[in-house]
Amino acid sequence: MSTTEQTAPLLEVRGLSIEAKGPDGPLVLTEGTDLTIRPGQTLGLVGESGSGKSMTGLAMLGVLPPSVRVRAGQVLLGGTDLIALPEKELRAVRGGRIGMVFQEPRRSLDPSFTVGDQVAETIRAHREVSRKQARNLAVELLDRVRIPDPGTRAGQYPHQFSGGMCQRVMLAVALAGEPEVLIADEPTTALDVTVQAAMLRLIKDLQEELNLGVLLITHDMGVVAEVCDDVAVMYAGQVAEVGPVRDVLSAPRHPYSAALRDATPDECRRGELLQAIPGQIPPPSAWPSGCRFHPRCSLAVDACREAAPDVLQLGRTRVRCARATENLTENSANNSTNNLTENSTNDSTENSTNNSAKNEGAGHGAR
Amino acid sequence: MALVELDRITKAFGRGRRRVQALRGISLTIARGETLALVGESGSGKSTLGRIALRLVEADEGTVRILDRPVRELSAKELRSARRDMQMIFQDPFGSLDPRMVIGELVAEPMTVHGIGADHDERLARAVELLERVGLDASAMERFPYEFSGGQLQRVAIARALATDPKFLVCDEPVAALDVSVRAQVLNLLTEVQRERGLACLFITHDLSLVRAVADRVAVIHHGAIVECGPAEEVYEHPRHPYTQALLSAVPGRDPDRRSLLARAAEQPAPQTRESTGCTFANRCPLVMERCWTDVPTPHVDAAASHEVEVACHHLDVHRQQALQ
Repeated sequence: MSTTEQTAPLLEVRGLSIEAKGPDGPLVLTEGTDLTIRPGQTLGLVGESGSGKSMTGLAMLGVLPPSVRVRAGQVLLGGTDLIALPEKELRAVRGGRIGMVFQEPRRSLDPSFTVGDQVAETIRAHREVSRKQARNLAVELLDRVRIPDPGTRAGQYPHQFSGGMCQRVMLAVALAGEPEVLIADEPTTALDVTVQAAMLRLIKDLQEELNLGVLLITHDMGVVAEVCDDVAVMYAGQVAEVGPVRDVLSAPRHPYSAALRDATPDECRRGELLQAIPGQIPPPSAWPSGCRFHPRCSLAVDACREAAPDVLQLGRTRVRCARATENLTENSANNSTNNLTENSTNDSTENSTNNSAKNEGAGHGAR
Repeated sequence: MALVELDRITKAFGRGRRRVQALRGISLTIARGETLALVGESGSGKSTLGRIALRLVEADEGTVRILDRPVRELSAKELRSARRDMQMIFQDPFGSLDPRMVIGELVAEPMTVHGIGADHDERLARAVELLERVGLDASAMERFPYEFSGGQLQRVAIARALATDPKFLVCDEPVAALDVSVRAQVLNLLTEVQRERGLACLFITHDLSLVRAVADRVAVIHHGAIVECGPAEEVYEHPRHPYTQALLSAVPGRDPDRRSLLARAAEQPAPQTRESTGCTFANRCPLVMERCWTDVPTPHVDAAASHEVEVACHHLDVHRQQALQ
C-alpha cells in the first residue's frame, strides 16, 4: 500500500548528481536524483546496468569508488546532510543508522573469520558492549535472520554457508547497528528463485518488526511488483519515473517504464516474440541530447530529440517525459505487442532484429 | 526421430565422503527442430548434463546418441568431426570469447578447425554473413570483445556457434548475465535461428519464466533427477510435481495487484534434516509421505490424461491409483 502522504520521510535524496573523473574532464554519471524513503516502506530503484542506480546507493552511504564523487545534492537523514558530514561522523551512520546489503554475499564476507565474529565486529563498532555481550548479540541476530541452530553456525566460516545463508548473515551484519534505513543493492540477484522468495520474505518481515525504511535496488520488475510500495525507474543517470508501484506498473507514464515492464518474459508463449527494447542503454559519455531515452523510444517525436523533458507531477507520479500528459504509453505498449506477435514470418522478424542491432551499433559507435 | 538421445546418464564427482551424485540416471530426447528447456536450481546438475551431452565431461554410466551415433564410442578423430554438429553457447560471453582475438577471427575459428571453406578469405566472408545474421555489421570484424556490450557479445557467440552449421546446440544460461531489455533481444534471436535451421536445442536455465517463450518442452531437474518433463505450456500452466509448483510459485509476478510471492514463500516448509534415499525432494516437499524417504519414484505418464507430462512423484501415483479405483 502506498501511503506516501502520511508518514514523514526518513531519508531524502535531493538533487543528487554524481560525476567520475574522465580523460576529458568530469563525466556525469547521475543527475538531479530525488528519492524519498519512509519508515516501514520500501522504495524500489530499478534500471538496467549502467543506469546509475548502484552509484546512487553508494553515494548515499558515502562509499563511492575513489575516482567518483558527488557533484551536487543532499542526502538528508533526519535533517542531517550526509554528503556534508565529515568522514568520522559518517562512519557512525554507515552501518549504524543505515545498514547495507550487497549482491554476492560471499564476497562481502571475510573467508578467514567466523560468521559470528563478523557480526560481533559490527556490533562492537556501533555499540558499547563487551566482546562476550557482542558475541551473544551476534547469535541473537543470526537467529533473527532465521538461521537455524545459530549458536553452532556462529562458530562456522563463510565457506560452510550456502549463498542464501551467506546473504542472511549479511543481513544480520546490516542489522547489527540497529539501523533505521536498509539499503539493499540487488540482494537476491545471484540466488535461486526459491531462495530469493524466502530472502524477500525475510526482509519484509524484519522491516515490519523494526519499522525499517528500505531502498531496494534491483533490475527485476517482478521483485518490485511483489515487495515495493514505491518505485523509481532510472535510465541513463536520471529518474525517468517515480511513484507508487501500483500506479507505475499498471499505468506507466514513461515509455521506458512500460517497456521495462513488458520485457519480462513470463506472459510470452512459444511462437511469440518477446517485447525487446531496441538498442541498448548508452554509456555516460554518449548520452543523447534531448530526452535520453529518445533513440530507443517508439513514441519519440522531434521535440524529444531537441529538448530535455521537464519533470511533471501527474497524480502521485513524477515523470520525465514530454509526452506523458498525452497518455500514449498504454496505446504504444499495445501497438508494440501487436507488431511483435504478428511478425512471426521470417523476413519481418529479421527486420526487427536488424533495426535493434542498428540501434545497438549506433549507441556503441558514439562511445 | 530423436536427434539427441540421453539414456540413463549418471555422474558422480569426488570420492569417499566428499562424493556427490550429480546425476542419477537421466533419460531425455530432443528432436530435430525442438527446444528442450532444462530447468533447475544451482547445483541441480543441469550444466553437467549439458556438458555430458557434448562429451565435454564423461558420464559414469549411460549413453549419449547424437544422430544415432553413440558419442562415447567415437574415437578422438571421429569425435572431432562430430563436434561440428554440436555447439555450445555459454553464460558469460566475456569469459567464453578470447579477448585477444578480433570478432572476425573468433567467428572464423571454428570453420578453420573443421576445415570449412576453401581458404581463410572465404571463411572471413562467411563470418561477415553470420555476423549480419545475428544483427551486427561487418565493421565488427576488426574489433575486439572489450569494445562490445554483453548483449552484442552474446550475438557474436551465437554467430560463432552457428559457424560450423551445427545440428545440436546447447545453450547454458545464455541470457542470465544480460539486462532485461537486451535479454529479450537475444532470446528472440536464438528462437529465430533455431527455427530457421531446424536445430535441436538444449536450453539450460534456472529461470522458469523464460521457458514458455523459448521451449517446446521442459524438463525440471532436481538434485540430478528429472522430476517432471512435458510440453512447456502444459507444465507452466499445470505444474504437477510439488517441486515444479514450488519453483513456479517463487517466480515474482509483475502485477502489484496480485502480490502473492511473499505469502507463498511463508508457506514453504522449512527443510527437514532427515536424509532421503528415495525422492530427492522429500526433505522440502509439503506432501511428503513415508514411502518418499525410501523409494525412488519412477517417472511416468498418466495414462488417462491427454497430455504427455511425465512426473516422478509417489504422491501423484497414489492419487492416480485412488482415481482408478
